[in-house]
Amino acid sequence: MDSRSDAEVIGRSLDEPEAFGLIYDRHAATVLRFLGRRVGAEVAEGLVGELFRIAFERRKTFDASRASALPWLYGIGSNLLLKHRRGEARRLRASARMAAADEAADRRASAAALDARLLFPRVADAIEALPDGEREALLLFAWEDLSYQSVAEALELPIGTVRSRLNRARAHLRELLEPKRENRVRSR
Amino acid sequence: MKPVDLARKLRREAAFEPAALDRGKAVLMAAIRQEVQPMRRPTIVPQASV
Repeated sequence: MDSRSDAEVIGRSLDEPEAFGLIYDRHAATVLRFLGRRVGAEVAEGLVGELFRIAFERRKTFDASRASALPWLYGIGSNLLLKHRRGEARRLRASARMAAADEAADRRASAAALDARLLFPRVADAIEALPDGEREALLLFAWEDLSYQSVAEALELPIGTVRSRLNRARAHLRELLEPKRENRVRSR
Repeated sequence: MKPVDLARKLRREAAFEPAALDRGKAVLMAAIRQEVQPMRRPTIVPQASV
């Protein structure tokens, strides 16, 4: 196994372009799953090669102080996905329907299943309604399990900005998911 | 449940064919070849006139 860091491999690829193939071998499956979660397998399969082609062409801009190229690749992927917003919205709603069906299949939790059927489509709509920057930070954090630092690297933002975007996203989601205060007062 | 945990629950793994990775790599390798070819063009040495 090649023990060189991604930064070393990318550095080498400046003189020996073929070396960049190793970056693909290391990360393409992860990146393909990331794209697939967002836009579905079919579109993702068409995008993965495009994403790595862009990464290859921009490899001079890779920050060599970062050992892993994965956050950088997520960042390129996030930009590519902006062109596929409609497909992403469909995928999110489909995920919500499937997640609700999974909960409903669990008979032990019938009350929870009912809640899930009602709640998950609203969560999908709420995520969809977030501003682009907040949605992207939230999905990288919650779906890709990236740390604050990696989300910051992916989106090329200071870590403080990522924290505030995530806080705003959480607040927006809470606002969109909770019944309006006056409704709650009225229903008492 | 916190909003972020709800978002996590909507995470879905998309299944893909293994061949999809090969097709993606072919796109990358084509870009690499395009860059390599001009770099390795043989140097033309002018021949001495007879």
